[in-house]
Amino acid sequence: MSVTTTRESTRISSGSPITIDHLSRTFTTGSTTVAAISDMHLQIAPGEFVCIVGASGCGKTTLLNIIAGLDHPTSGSVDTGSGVVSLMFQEGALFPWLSARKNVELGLSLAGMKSRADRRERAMELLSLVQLTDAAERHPHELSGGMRQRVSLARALAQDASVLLMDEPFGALDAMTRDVLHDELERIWFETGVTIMFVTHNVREAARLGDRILVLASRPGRVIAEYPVDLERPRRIESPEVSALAAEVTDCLRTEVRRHAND
Amino acid sequence: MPTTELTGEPKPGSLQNSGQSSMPSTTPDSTVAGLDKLDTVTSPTTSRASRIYSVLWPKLSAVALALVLWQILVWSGWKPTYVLPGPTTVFSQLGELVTTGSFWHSVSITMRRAALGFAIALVIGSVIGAFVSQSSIVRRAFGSFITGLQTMPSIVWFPFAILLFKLTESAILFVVVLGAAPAIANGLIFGVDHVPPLLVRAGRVLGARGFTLFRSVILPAALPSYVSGLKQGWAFAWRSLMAGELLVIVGNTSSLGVRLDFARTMSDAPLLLAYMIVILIVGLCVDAVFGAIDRRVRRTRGLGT
Repeated sequence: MSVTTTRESTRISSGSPITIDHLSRTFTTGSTTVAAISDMHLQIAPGEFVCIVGASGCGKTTLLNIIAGLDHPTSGSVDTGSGVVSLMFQEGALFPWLSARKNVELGLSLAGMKSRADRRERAMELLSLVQLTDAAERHPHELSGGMRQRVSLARALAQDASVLLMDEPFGALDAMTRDVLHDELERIWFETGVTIMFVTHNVREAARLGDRILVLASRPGRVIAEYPVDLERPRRIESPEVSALAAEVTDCLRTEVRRHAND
Repeated sequence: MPTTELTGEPKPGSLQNSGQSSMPSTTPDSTVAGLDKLDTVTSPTTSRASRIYSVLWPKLSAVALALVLWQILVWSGWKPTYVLPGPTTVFSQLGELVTTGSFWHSVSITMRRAALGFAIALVIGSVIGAFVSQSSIVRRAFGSFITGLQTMPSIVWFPFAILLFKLTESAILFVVVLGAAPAIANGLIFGVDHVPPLLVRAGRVLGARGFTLFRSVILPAALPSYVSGLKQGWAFAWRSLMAGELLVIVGNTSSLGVRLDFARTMSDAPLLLAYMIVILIVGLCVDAVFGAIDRRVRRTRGLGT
């Protein structure tokens, strides 16, 4: 019963659109000014799953920080509607002094859920969504990397976010765990309807997950190419279609990287 | 946007077909469960008794060695036994002592002072530590001053304390607080400085700002260093207190320090050494309590054993 209610309640609060308009961000240290992002435009539909790939220096962390409200644009604007924006980090930034359940409960409490009993119940629902009911009372150091990332995901979902930003969330995991988490993430995205912006170095991962892949140029960061992914879900990361698209995106990325060789 | 065109309830566990494009499959639960099992570290569990034994025997051996060296020193005839009595004499004196009510009265006076002084130092040190760690201006003003205070032997404060408070309890407490508070403040400051920035970012993403961020993220993250500061603060407080009880004799009170000084006046070496052992044991016991808290805090976070 409780699982059904979860689905319904999270579905109501489905994703927000993201509109990025003429966004620029420069950093000044002493007399040198570095442009991390230059005149970026982006339109992401509500509930869309967008993957972003780019080489080093494409300003992805800056971009996510700005969308999450941790940093401010130098010029231009970012609009994420009225909903909450959540951000998930590469290494699970879980609080090591709290159990898995308490980590999720802290997210709920900071999101304004007052009643302790409600928090507990909701935290257990979210942990069951990521299949971690049995590990609820364990501390982060007692969990594997994949389990930690699932707790992070549950904590991010606790914010009832309408936009979920993911900064290479599965980058540090082994291939098998990553495949499983792709399935999990896809299922949760489908059930919640949240808008996802997923940054990765792994082009196949992008082709496996995204509705659309955006390729960012480096120094300064801006969108140089866009690939709609018209493949049926569920996809398999090792399928020929995913591989073919990944190869195409990799070529684009390689051209971009080579451009910097003569800088 | 696949989510808008999908209206059917997802069916976990069932592999999809449903003609339409983007129906995600659900993970076979057994794969997840299997990976979780394989990835979970199971630490070997040792019995409580063997754990206690492995902690205790090196300590007991060290104590035995110290007693043997002491006895050898006595046997060597370096000093007459009325100045340097052997362990048996001292421990039988100690055995008698602990059966008297006046001894426990002395212990309670001293411990009350220690607890009160430490509690005041805890409050003052924590408040100062919190302010200094959070404001760069306050830090520039007082940061090195706190460290300076910590390196200053607290006994040099006594003449001034006696001028200020006469020979009263307050003079002793004043110095105890001055001894302990800087260590506590520094422990907190160090801890806050070394909070991983990623955790602060995570807290901010979750919506914590200002005091909420400090209370629910920064302070718990700084707790291990804070507890180390408390432990060190206790050591300073206990030293300052003993110095104070020897220097500042408050009328009609017979604290451990007073008793120690009395034993010296009476040239009662066994009694004097017995009191010294008591002071050592009290210090060690309280230190062990902080040590246990410290280990617990670290174990929860997966920091060492």
